[in-house]
Amino acid sequence: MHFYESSIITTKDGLHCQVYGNEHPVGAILVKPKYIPTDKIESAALQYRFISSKKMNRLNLWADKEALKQYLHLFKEAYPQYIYQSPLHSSERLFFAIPVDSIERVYYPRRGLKELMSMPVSSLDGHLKNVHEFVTFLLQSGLVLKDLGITYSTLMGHYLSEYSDLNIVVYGKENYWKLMQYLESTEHSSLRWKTEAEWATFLENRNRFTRFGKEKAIEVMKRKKSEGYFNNKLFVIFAAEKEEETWFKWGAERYKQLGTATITGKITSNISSVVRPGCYEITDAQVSESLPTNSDNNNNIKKIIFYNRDYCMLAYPGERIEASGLLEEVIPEQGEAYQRLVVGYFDAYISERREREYIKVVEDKNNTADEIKKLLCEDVSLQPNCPFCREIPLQVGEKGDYGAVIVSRIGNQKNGWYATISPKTGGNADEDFTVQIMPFNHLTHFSQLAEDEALAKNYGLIFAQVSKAMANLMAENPKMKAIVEKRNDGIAIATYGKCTTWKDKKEHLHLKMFQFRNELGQPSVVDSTFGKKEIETDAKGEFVRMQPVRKKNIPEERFKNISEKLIQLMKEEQKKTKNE
Amino acid sequence: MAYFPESTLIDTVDGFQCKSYACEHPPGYIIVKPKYIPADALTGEGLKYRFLFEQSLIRFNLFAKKEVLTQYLEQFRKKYPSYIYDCPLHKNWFFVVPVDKIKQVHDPKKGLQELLKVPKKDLDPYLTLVQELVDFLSKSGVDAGNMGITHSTLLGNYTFGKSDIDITVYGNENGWKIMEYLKNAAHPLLRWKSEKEWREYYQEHKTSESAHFTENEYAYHMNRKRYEGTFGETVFTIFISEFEEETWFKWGEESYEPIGVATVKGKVVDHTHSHVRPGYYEITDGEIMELEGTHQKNILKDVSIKRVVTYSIPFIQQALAGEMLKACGLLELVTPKKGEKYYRIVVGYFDAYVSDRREKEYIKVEV
Repeated sequence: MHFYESSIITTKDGLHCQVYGNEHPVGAILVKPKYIPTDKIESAALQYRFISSKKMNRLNLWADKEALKQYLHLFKEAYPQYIYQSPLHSSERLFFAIPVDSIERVYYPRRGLKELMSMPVSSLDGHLKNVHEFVTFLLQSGLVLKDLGITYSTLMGHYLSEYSDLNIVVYGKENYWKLMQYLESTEHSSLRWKTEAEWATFLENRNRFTRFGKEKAIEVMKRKKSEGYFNNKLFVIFAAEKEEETWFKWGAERYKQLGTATITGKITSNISSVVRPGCYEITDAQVSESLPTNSDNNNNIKKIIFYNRDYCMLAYPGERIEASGLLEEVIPEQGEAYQRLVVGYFDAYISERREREYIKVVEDKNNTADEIKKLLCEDVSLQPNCPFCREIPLQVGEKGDYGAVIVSRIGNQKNGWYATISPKTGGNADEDFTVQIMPFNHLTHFSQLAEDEALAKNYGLIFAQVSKAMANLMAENPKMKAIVEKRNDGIAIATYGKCTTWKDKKEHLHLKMFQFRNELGQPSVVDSTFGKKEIETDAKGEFVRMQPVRKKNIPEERFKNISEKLIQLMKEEQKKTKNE
Repeated sequence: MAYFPESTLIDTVDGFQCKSYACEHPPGYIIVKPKYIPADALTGEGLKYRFLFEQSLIRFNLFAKKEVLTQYLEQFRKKYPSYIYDCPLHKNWFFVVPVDKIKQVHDPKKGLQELLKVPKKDLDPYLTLVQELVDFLSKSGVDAGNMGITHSTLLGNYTFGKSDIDITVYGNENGWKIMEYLKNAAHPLLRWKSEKEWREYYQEHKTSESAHFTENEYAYHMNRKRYEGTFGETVFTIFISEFEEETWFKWGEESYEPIGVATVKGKVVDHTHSHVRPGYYEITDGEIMELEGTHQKNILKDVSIKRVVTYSIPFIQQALAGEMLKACGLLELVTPKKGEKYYRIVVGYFDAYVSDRREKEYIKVEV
C-alpha cells in the first residue's frame, strides 16, 4: 500500500509520528514515533518537548542505548498496537505502524504548502516568509507547486522562528533528481551551501569520522545539494516516491535474516538512494566480514538498503561503497532469490549493530584499471553528427561545413591527423589566424594517443610542422626576430586543447594553435600573470578584468592567401620529414 | 446553566479555533470569540491571515473597520448560522460553538501542568520564561494547579519575541490574590509601564476606548492595573476565570430587556467580580445621565440601576469600591426569576462592535 513518506500523523492517543517510507502493509502506516506523550511512559534519557499542550518525549534513536532499550520495552507494553510484527521479515525486526483506525489526523506536506503559498506574503512571519521565498526559488527549476511540500514543525505550526529548519518534500524521484541538477548549477543571493567546516561539524556530531576519514567524508558530503542554507536557515530537501515509482512493493518479497556482514560493491544505480528506505543497486559485491557464516564471495548481493537519510546520495554509479549491516536473503514472489544488506532497521539501534552499521564510499582498487580500460577501448569510429568527422574525407585545399580549409593530412585512418585553417579569428582579422589539428579517428581523450605509437608520432609531427609553418608565415613580418628585448616586439604562438570524460563535452579532439596577441594574447588562467591581475569587486563578488573576445571573419582575399601559403609550407615540411 | 471556564480554546469540526468568552453559557452552546476561521469563510479587504496547523486561517478581528466587520458578520451568519446564537433571554446575539460542533478542547490548566513537568533544560527561551513567570506568580500563594496557559502558549504556535504569554487563573479569590501580590512584588524580569509611559502610550495609541479618557484619566486607570505587564520583555496577560460554584450569575435565572444606549453614574459598592468576563461593578445611587431617543419615558422610577457589566477586557478592574463610576453602554432592564427587577449597563456585547456603541462605550471613575 502506498502512502507518502514525510507526512505527519497524530494518533488518537496523542503521538506525533513521521511516516517512514512510501510502501506500507495494508491497514497500517509505517512510522517513526517522533513525539510521545509522557502520561504512560517516559524517559529522562530522551529530550522533552512541550507540544500540543503536552509534555512529550522526543524519540531519539541515538540516545543512551540501554535507556533506549528500556524505553522501547516500555513502549511495546504501553502501545502494543503500534508495534508491527511483519510477516515478511524475520521475527527480530522492529517496525512501528499506526493502524488506520488509530489515526487522529494526517498532516499532508503538499496540502500544507499549497495553503501556505496561497497566503498573502505580508501575512507571513519571518520563518514562513523564508519558506515562501525558498519554495518560489525552487519552482524556478521547472517543478510545479504540487511537486513540493513542507513538513515537520513548519507543517504542524510549532516551529521556532529562530531555530527551526526548512524541511521540503519533493514528490517523485524524477522530480527530486531534476531539482538536484538545478541546484548544482544555480545561484541565488540567499542560497549558500554548507562549508567544509559545517559538514565537519555535522559529521562529528554523528561520530562519523572514526570510520570515514575526515577529508573523504567531507568530500562526499559536499556533493549533496539536498542540504544548505537559505537566508542563513538550514534547509533539508527530502524525496517521496510516487506510487508508480516505488522501488519495491510491500508484500512482493520476503526477507530472511542471514547475519551481519561488511561488504563492498560497485554502484550500478543510485536512483533510489534519495528516498526512505534508500537503495543502492550494486554489482561485484565482496564480503569482507560476515557472522555467523564465514566470508563468502560467492554471494548474490544486489542491493544495499538504508533507513537513515544521511546515506542518501552518498555514492554515484561507478563508485564503490563499503557497508556494514544486516545481510538478508530476499525471496521475491516472482523472480530469483538474491541477497541484500540492510542498514538502520529500528532494532539495530538497540543491538550491537548500532555501532557497527555504516555505509561509506571507498577507493575502488580496481577503478583505475577498469576506467582507463573503458576509456581506451572507446568506439573511435567516425560519428555522422561530429563536424570534425565529416571533414575526414576532404582533401588538402578543400573546405568543410564551417568553412575551414584543410591545410595538411598525415597518416592513415587509424593513425592519421589533419590540420585546418579557420575562416574566423578572435584576434585581429588582418593579422591573425588559427590552425586546428585533429585526429582522423573520433578520439576524445589525449590519453588515447598512447595506445598507438604511429598515432602519437603523427601528432608530434603535425604539431611541429604547423608550428614551423606558422612561424614561417609570421616571419614575413620584418619585425620578427628570433630574440627581442621588449615584450611588445615579441611574436608569440599559443596552443589550446582539452579533453574531459563528461559525456556532454566528450568531443572529437582538437587542438588550436594561434598567435598569442591582441585579444587572444590575454593571460590564460594557468599563467602566473593571470594570478597577478588586479582583483576587483562588485555586487556579484570578485572578478578580474579581461578584454572581450569576438570571432571575426578573416577577409576573403587574406584567408585565401594564407591558406595557400600554409598548404605550401606544410607540403615542404612534410617533404623534409620524409626525406630525413 | 452550563459552566465552561473562560479563555479555554476550542477547535470545531468546521476548522474554527475559538476562545471561550465567559464562564456561564446557554444550554447546548459555549459562548466564544472566534479566533481563527478557515480562509474560505470570508472574503473582503483587510483580512489578516495566519498559517496554522497545515491551514491558511483568517484571524477574526472584532476591531476591523466597522463597515468591513459588518460585511464579515453578514457573510459569517450566512455561512455558519449555527455559530451565532440569538438569545431569547438577552434579545441579543452571541458567537457560540454548539456542543456537537466541538472537535477538541484545549484545557489551559492541564496544559500548564504538563509544561511544568518539562525539565528546564529541554525548554526553549519562550517556555522557560513562561515557567519562570508561573513560578513567580505562585509566590502569591496561588497554587500553580489553579493556573493555566492559553492561546499560542498552550497550542505551541508562539513566536518568541512576538507572542504574549497568556496566563489563566482559576478562582475569583485566587485572581484577586495575584492582583494584590503584583502590586508590590518584584522580580528582575518583571516590568510595569510607568505612569509616564502610559501617558506616552495614550498619545501614541488612540483607541475607541481611550477616546473617552483624558490623558490624566487614562494614565490613572492603567497605572493601577496589574493584569498586564512585561516579563523578560515579553508581554503577559492574566485572565481570571471563576470556579463553577462562584459564577456571579447563572444562565437562565434572569432575562434582559434592552432599552437603549445610556450613560450612567453611581458609586461602586462592590468590585469583587470586576476582574472576570463578563465582569461587573455593583453600584448604588445609580443615575441615568443620558439616554438615547425617547426611552427616558419608559424608565421605571422605582427600579434602581445596580450593575455595570463588561465583556471588554480594557474595562475590567476599572473601578474599586467607594469610587464614583461613570459608564456608557446598553441599558437593560433585568428581570430575575427570583428577586426584584433592576437596571444594568452592559459594555462590550458582540453587537456593539458593529453599532454606534462601539465608539460610545466606556467605564471610568472620577479622577
